[in-house]
Amino acid sequence: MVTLFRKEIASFFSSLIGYIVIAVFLLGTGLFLWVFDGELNILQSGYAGLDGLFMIAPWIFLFLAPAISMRFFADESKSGTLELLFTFPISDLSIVLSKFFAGLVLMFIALLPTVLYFITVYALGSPVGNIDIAATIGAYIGLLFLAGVYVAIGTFVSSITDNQIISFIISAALCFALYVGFDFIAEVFPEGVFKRISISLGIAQHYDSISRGVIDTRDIVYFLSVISFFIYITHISLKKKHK
Amino acid sequence: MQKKIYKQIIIACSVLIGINVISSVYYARFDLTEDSRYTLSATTQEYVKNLQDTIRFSVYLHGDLPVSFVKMERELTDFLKELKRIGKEHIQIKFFDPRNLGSNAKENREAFARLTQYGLKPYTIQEQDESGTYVQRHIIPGMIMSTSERYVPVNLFADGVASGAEELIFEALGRLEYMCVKGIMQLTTEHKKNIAFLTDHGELPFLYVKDATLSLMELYNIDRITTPELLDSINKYDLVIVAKPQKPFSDEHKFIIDQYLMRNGAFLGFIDAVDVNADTLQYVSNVTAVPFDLHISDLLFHLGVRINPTILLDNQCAKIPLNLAPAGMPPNYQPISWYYFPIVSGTQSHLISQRLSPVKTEFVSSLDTLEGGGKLQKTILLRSSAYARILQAPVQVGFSVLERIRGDYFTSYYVPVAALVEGELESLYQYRATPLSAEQLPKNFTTILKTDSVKMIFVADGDVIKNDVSVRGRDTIAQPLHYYKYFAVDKNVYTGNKEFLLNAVNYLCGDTELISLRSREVAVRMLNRARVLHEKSKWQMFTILLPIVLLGVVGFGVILIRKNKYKKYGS
Repeated sequence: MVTLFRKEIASFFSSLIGYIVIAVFLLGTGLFLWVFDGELNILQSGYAGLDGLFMIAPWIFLFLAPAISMRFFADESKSGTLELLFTFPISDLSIVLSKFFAGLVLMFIALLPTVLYFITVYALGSPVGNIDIAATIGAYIGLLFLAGVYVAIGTFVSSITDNQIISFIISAALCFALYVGFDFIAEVFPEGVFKRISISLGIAQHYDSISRGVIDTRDIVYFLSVISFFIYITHISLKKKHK
Repeated sequence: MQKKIYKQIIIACSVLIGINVISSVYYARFDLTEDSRYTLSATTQEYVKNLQDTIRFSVYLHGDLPVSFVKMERELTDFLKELKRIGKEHIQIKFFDPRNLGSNAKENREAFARLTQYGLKPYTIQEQDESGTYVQRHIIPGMIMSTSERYVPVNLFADGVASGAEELIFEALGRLEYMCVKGIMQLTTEHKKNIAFLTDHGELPFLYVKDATLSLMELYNIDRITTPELLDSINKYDLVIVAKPQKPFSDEHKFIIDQYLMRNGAFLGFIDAVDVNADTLQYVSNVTAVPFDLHISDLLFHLGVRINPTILLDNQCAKIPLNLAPAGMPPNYQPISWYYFPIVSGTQSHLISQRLSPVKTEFVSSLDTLEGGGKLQKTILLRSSAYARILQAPVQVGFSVLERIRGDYFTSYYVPVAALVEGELESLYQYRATPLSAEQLPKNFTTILKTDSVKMIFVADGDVIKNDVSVRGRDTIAQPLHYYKYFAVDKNVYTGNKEFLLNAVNYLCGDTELISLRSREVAVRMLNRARVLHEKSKWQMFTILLPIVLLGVVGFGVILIRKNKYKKYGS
């Protein structure tokens, strides 16, 4: 399992695409937060916090996570190496998990350079160091859970198609639907139970709360449930191919 | 086979939904923010949990807003969501864009005008339109809280304080919880407490306590009554306020006040011990300050305080403009320290005075609390700075004092000027004849000689509660309490006076929870603007180029490692 996990990460960094994906992520986030005019610009807002990062990251992740996960199974089943994988003495679940965790770690690596943003706000604060460190760490944890959900969705979608492009598009769409789709549906309902249920099914509500630095066990349980659900159905889909 | 898969998926779904339902019952919440800003205080939670009515929040800070206001809207939304999480169906939140309330432009204007009639105050912002010219636009930083029967407008911006939008937002976010709880109290309190201003000892007329009265009226019923009227409804009032009396208290009045206190009353007195006719200072250089004889010292002494016939001078004081030009030359006004207007601060010893902004006084006296006298507990609330001087009246007051002041002039320090007295009290008339005969007393009136709990606050200056009144043509306009007529030279806004008043009244009326909510601090963290301006491009490089460079270095490293690997295999 560890071998498979390492192989997955190594193959990501051995292709130029991997670097381009991360570079685009960093460049996009950076420009929105530090250069472009607007609500997200940290320097313009004058507030010593990384709120902008946690607002924009779910949107940029919509492309980053599918780009990372699109190859997972799509590539293997196209080139036929999936058959080879099945002959290894490891369970299907281990295969899914190693791909999932590889994706999560890659997201984490992509996110790592944003520590420089933190350093910047730390240094520019008035007085220096005027940033809520604990809350920021909490928000980063929220971001990792969000990345987990996106990667789990991406892994699943990748397992049902053998075309990387289709895998990318479908998983981006599915992530988007899960992120804000339920809020749109909720708009239709009048104030009441259905509205509340609909909103709480979406990622947005749980992520918003955690990204402010409030860690709620309900949000964590929600994220873990969604992740396990997608890993489970990936497992089923893989089994089906196996047969 | 296919069926089996669906079955498995459905089972998985139900298990996960089950786990989520269980977790929504048994949960924990950790607010990692340093100031616990997303955690409502226990008081607020209690209020919101016990709501009987449904409270509807109609928020008008919505629509296309400038960046800083978008941030404010988000914080407000977060806060209201948190209220809703606890209050559930008893809290309803709706957002309205004040520019799109009707279906056409005319209706929009009318709807907007209606909002201002309801008591919401618009805030004007400058905006650039497409052609680049600046246009004014009104936004409404406020909301209306309502039940099916009543409504209260909630203006989030502190009124009248001249400062920029950022500061107003900063302040508003800090006061959100207080404003909402106050609104809920206003909407749900069935019986407001009663407060009486006494009027028959030359106390400040309504116009001069207008701001104080209006602020208190949000939560209390306010009456202006004479002392005999107090006797008639002696059980009605929860608090009696005496604001800057000028005429002596008769024995009968002192008896009535004493008996009012015996019925678990609370008392708030702003009492001058020295008479200074400051207005004449504009025409003459010196006036004489003389002790006031209000015939009240014996009662105060009995209640545990003495307001001394003194004038307190303080190095920490407000400024006034003084014409420094020689006679015959055009006037040249310069700000000078006016030591007669000390800026006093709250002590840390009581909730009322902790975190209080500085309070402006005018010709304040020193106040002593007296030892002994039974079971009264005394707490100093306000005191001078460490550089003060006490002058005994009668004494000359005027600009000439300023010339005498040297470095070692201020010999007193931390002189008390306001105190809270509470505890058990025996009647002043326990061993004295009552000045009112039985016929003069209402039926069923019994003289009470002892009480378990009185709460009294004494301030040795009548001007703390007094607002300025400016005359414009034939109109007289009461200014807010924080307004100082020489703001132009003094540059300070004295919000501490109203804070002190509200804290004192809340405490005396038993609404202590409002005090801690009002003074709850929420840190808004700011960037160093000057550095942002100067070092902008440096940090932009740091945040945009450096990550890419780092990525490049990693990529290069990976290639090198690979090459080495191949070399190894090659050899």
